[in-house]
Amino acid sequence: MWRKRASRFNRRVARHRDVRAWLCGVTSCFLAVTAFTQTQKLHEIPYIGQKLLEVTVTALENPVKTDSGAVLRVERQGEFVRFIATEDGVVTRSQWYQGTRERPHVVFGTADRRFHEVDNRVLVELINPKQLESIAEEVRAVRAKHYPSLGYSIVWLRPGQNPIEAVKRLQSDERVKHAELQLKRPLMIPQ
Amino acid sequence: MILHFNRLSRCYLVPFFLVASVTILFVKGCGSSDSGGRPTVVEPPTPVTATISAAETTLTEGSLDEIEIWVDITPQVNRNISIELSFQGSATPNVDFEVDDDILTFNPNQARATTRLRVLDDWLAEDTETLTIRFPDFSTSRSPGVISGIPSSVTVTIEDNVDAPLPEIEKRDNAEVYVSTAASFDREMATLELRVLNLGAMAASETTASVKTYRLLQPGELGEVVEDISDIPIPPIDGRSVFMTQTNLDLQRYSPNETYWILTSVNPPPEEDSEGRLGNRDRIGFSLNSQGEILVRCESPVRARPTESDDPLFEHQWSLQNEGQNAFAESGGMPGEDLGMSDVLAAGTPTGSGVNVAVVDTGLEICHPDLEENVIEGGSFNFKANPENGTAWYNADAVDPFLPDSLGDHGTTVAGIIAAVANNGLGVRGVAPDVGLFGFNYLSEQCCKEDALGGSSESPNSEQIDVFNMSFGTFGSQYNEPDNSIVRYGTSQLRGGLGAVYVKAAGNSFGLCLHFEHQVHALSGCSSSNGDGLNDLPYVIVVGAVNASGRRASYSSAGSNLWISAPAGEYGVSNPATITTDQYSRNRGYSSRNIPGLSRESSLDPFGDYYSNFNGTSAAAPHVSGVVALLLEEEPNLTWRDVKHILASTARRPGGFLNAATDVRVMIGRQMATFYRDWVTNAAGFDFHNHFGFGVVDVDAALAFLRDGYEPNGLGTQSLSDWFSASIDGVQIPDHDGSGIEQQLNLDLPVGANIEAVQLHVSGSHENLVDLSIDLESPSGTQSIMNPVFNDLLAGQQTLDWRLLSNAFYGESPRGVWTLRVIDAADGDTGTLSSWALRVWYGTHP
Repeated sequence: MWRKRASRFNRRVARHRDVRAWLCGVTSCFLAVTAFTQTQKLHEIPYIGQKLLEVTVTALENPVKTDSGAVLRVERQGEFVRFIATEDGVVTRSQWYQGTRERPHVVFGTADRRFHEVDNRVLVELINPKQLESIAEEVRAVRAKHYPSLGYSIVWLRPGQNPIEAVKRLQSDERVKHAELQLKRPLMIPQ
Repeated sequence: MILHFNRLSRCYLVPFFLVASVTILFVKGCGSSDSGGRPTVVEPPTPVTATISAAETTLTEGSLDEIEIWVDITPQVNRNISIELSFQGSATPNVDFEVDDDILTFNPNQARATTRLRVLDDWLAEDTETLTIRFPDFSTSRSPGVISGIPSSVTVTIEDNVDAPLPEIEKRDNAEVYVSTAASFDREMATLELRVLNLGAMAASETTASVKTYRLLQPGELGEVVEDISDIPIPPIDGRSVFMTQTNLDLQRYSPNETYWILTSVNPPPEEDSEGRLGNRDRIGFSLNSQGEILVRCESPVRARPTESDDPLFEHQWSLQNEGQNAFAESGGMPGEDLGMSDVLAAGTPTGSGVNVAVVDTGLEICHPDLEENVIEGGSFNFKANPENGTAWYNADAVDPFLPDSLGDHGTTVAGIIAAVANNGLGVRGVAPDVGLFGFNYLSEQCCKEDALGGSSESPNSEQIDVFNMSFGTFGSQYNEPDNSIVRYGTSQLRGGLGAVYVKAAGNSFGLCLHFEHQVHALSGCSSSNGDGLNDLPYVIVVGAVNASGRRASYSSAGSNLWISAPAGEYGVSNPATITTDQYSRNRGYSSRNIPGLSRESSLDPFGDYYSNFNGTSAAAPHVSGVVALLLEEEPNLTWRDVKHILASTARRPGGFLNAATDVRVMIGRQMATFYRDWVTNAAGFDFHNHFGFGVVDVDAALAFLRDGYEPNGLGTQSLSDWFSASIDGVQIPDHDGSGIEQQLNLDLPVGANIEAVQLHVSGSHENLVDLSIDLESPSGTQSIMNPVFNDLLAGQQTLDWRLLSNAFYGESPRGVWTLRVIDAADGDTGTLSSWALRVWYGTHP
């Protein structure tokens, strides 16, 4: 009863500064896409407060339904790839990518029901931080840095390298106490 | 005090008192005379005539207006008189209006008594309502000897403020396309990344984008097109989705020693709005050096030494000393609405000497003529210089965070507010003109928060920093543990354990109504500062912005996590903005856009090194960072908590804020709910307001407080409680009901503890979270709105799992019963509160 229709395009454009801020922040939230999934069971990755479903490989014609009811699928249209999450027949999230562009690695959050691009950084806690260099080499990382004050290290992976695979490998390494996937966060932008 | 009508009880009570009075008179008169048994003769009271008047007769819902209603009696008499007003008409008491007193009492010889009536809002579309206020029937009332004069009644009209009922928050029925451009540079090629976003609900049509580059002839004037890349295909982007693509520029086509602009647009060509700004286009720029390579290192400009020592633009720096000057805008502000540092300016000290401040931003021109002297050699860091980084800038220097984009370096403008050198004959002076200045271009790479915020001892060594200025933020992020770990480490371990001070911009989202607009946004804001997870950490000083007139700056995000406010200004055209350093030379920097202001006043800025239109909470935060540097020079043993305590204890209410004592209370269903609060004074005596935190920073007052026997590190050990969780198992939130959910939680914490911050973890689900207001009340009765109703950033979201911070309870005891209220203010969508919990940072304050 109380609500007002808000077709105030011009006023929003006048707030161009804010719109740009929103745009930059939201962009990274929505960054999605890679390929598709051929299987009906997606790989689950525990993550703070939710499970992440790894959206992998190539099954463009086989949509996958998540436990939360979202249907994930991928379409190709010319040189574009479109990643779509649908719930109750409504597209809740989608993402376009140029097919030729190097695809980031993408997961779908079961709680927030969003695609997330996975960062190329992996957070690791080592039993002996002096072993960081050799551990980083084994996962073919481009570089690594230990932060003694913070008690953890960061491993940077090469462009195109799959962070999910790297985390799996690190988690199985007995020298590693903890390895954690990092999701790309909304961009920090000047205020 | 507001009296609530209860006519039912009054109906019973009045006859009771009448009967009792008559009985007493009868008993006294008939049986127990004290005059020798003679009956008492009761003189009839002197008759008086009463008239009623009102200051206004028309009120509008939602206006926060109130009117005065008064009754005059003649002649004045030497007795007490009470007159009960009656209210008739279509308007309902305590639904459509309320009055302070409905019974007016006259003391002996008092001629006039007044009450105040205010209209209540309900956000419903209604007809105009009327209210007639009249005297009772004096022949039967309890006002003996009073007769009605003329006028004996007043009629007030209450006009509605909602044009038409609309059942749902607007689902955008159009496509709105925006584009932003980022560039990375190689030796012979620039790679542009285009992000095209559709903010609307409907899919945009398939279209194309174009990129054109122009040589910049002089500020704002473009020369020939150098490169034209048209017909970049853009697919039919779904609503609220983004498309990313890349294209390359061939740098061989460009001439050395020139500056170029890159204009990106999406077809169809955009229409300009009334202020000449466009939605679906963007621009960035770059300069080439004498070898035809992208300028990626700071090259000191060759300039003659100034002959004068005064800073020529100082007289325009209203934020340091506001005398009502225009500061290159059309009109000036309110004298005195500044940092309150006139004593410091007169004394010339402190100046921040010996204190290190890092500007964590887009970049920093370390060779800027007005900054160079304060830059710590080799201390800054360029995250775009690591060749192992796939997005590194060609030939960038690891200790020179120079920004190649020539259309303004946010970090350089921020740095000038803090650290521009004083009395060097150039431009402006900073708040702390002798600090040691560092630049970390974290925002240009977004890679390495640990390195930029104090967690790294090499490449860069950020552990040597005393104050981190964070004039950045995000929108839609939440608490995350790595962020918390970094700043917790910095505050507990840096500065030899005294703790580094983190100063952060609150955000510029007050007017950011992306999904819908509502009248309450005018006071509560469209999008809250709680949409940035870093703002919800107690280790960060979150700064709001005020303008030169001493009011909240139009864009400054509001929220319970604000700590303090500082000058920043408006846009510098109609009203003053902040004057600060810009990328040097006339064809580089924000000023190269040639917008109204200092850029057209070349006599005061002959080389184009300054900018008079800088604003945002980005400009407010460095004012506070400068002030913190002054405090740390004055007393190097202050802990980070001391700094927060001193700022909170000495902040002042801004002078231009006029809406004193006006909360926004609205009828939701049949229950009143409060959705905006004015200043509150908490039980520890601290004033707090979601627009300003504890108020506007006052430098002279802070230094006086410090010099008046303040004992550093005297706040006791800071402790963090465990989470206290409420025992609930999914509670339905009543739909469109002002009573909402009200739950309580007892916190058993030590006697003598004083709150430093309170964090609320709340989870649940709702068909539209934007409907929810979340309010927390302390055991002392202080109420804090932690999530404002219709917070636009929640529009369309359904899952709530959120940590929110409030500073409103600072200094109070955390012991006792806390109350959480969750109200659903709109009908149609429903949801459930799954859990909530509190934890408290506390110390033992003097």
